[in-house]
Amino acid sequence: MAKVNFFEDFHKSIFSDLVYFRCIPGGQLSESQSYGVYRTGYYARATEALGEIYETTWRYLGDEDFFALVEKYVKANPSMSPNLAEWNYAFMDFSKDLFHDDELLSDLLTIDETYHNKFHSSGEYLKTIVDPLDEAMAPLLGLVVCDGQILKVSYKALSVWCELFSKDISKFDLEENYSSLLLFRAPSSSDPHTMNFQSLTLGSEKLLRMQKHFFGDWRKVLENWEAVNDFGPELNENDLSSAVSELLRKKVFQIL
Amino acid sequence: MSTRSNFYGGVGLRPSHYQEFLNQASKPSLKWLEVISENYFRTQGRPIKVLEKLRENYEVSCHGVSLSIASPEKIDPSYAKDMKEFYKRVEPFVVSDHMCWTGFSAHNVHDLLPFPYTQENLKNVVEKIQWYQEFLGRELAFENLSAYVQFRESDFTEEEFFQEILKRSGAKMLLDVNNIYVNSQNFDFDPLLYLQKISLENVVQIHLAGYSDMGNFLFDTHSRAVQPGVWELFKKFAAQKSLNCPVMIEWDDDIPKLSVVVDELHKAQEIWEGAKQGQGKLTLEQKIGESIDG
Repeated sequence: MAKVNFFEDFHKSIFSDLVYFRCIPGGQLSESQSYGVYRTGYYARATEALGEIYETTWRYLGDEDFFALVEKYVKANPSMSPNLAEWNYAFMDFSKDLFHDDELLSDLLTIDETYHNKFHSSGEYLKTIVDPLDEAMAPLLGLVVCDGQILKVSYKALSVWCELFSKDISKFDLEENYSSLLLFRAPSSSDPHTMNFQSLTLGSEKLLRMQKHFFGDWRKVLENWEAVNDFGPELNENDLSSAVSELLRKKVFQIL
Repeated sequence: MSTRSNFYGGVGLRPSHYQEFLNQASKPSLKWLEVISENYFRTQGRPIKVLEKLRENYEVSCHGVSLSIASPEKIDPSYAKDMKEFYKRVEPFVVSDHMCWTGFSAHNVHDLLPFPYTQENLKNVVEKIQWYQEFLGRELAFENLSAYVQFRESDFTEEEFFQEILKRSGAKMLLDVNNIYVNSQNFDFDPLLYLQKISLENVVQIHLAGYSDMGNFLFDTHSRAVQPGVWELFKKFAAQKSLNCPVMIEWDDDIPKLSVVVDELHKAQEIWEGAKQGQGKLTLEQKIGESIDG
């Protein structure tokens, strides 16, 4: 049996400024700094893993708030799984509790987690989603949208899984379709709406560029949304959809 | 797989490159891909379907990150079962993990943690490797770590410890050249002496990756191109006649376009083939002491 106290002391040293097990530090680091390298890596990996799943939530909160959220979460909910991607086991509920006044955040967390679960589920399960961009998605996810918001639907396989479940994978269109979904509440109505304003197939570089410039700051999107609102209350729903769609297309084309 | 007398190159498969691999036009002509095993254990969705599709064109090696072979804790039977099912499904030519532990008291820190190279830990590691190899019905390979701490309690150097592990368990080694370089700089030793202690015929795979210079230490980030010092060391390793195994490029953070990773692999191939052509001109002993700082 290997010495348990070493493993326990090393583990404690990672999460403390104290050194519980003396070591020879690497480079010009102190002992405490050496253990700190592992501590930094711990939070970085958690952020990366959770950020991959809760991509929209991250974008909505911004870096500073998302990092703080992750740190609080992992302190309260250490990973118990060998699979890093399963560290989200309590993230949605934890975040909803923490931001209990933020209805939109609650919706975004639900969307992110639902997509993640669908992404890793078998085709039989995913068959229930006909089109993720369809308005039917909103009730399916129990969405209550409080404001205008654009989501990048980067869950690349969804179009593939729509056709599932064939046994022959070669029949699937494995192209990654990147689409964007606008969630909004029409000025004259209290009902939320979703609209697919663009469906694009992009190389990853182009997508990243677009993501950075276009989807990077959701507040800019809201500014545009306000501009649409300026059309006035007499604007009917179809006109509104066209106007928003046009506005967004122009913006996308500028970037592309 | 047939002979590997020539360069046998691969890259790590990452989700951001799925589309490039699936697209016939952009699909690179590589021999093999390395996948992170745990990413595929419990998914029934796209990741495993993509891997099965790619498996039609590429050989695959499976690289684990959570075996925690040096942990004193009991083996997790559900993890072992996941491993077995996954390897049966994809039939990898190499199954590897790291010579490390990854957590304590069921808390997985998702890092590759070092430990003292003691007799006691040697015994524990050998027993666990033997259990896994018997359970899986195949040999495992273990990768040398990059580490930021070492321990005075060690009875062996890392290379001596590895050699004992290989001898006693029948396991193989995954030699990470970048990790040896990073450790040699952080802990001030000659990396060529490391190689001298290892039975190179037991090395079944080589990793190359990029580190980051943090100013007061080198950090194994896998976030950039392979650094000149690592290329230079790779060249000296490749010149060893008995070292003849698959080589791959790892890139895990700030992942670039697939073509950039493949370009790195082409560079590795040039160095490998050049070194193999020059074999015999210098012995390992003659090279020891040469500066590797490049």
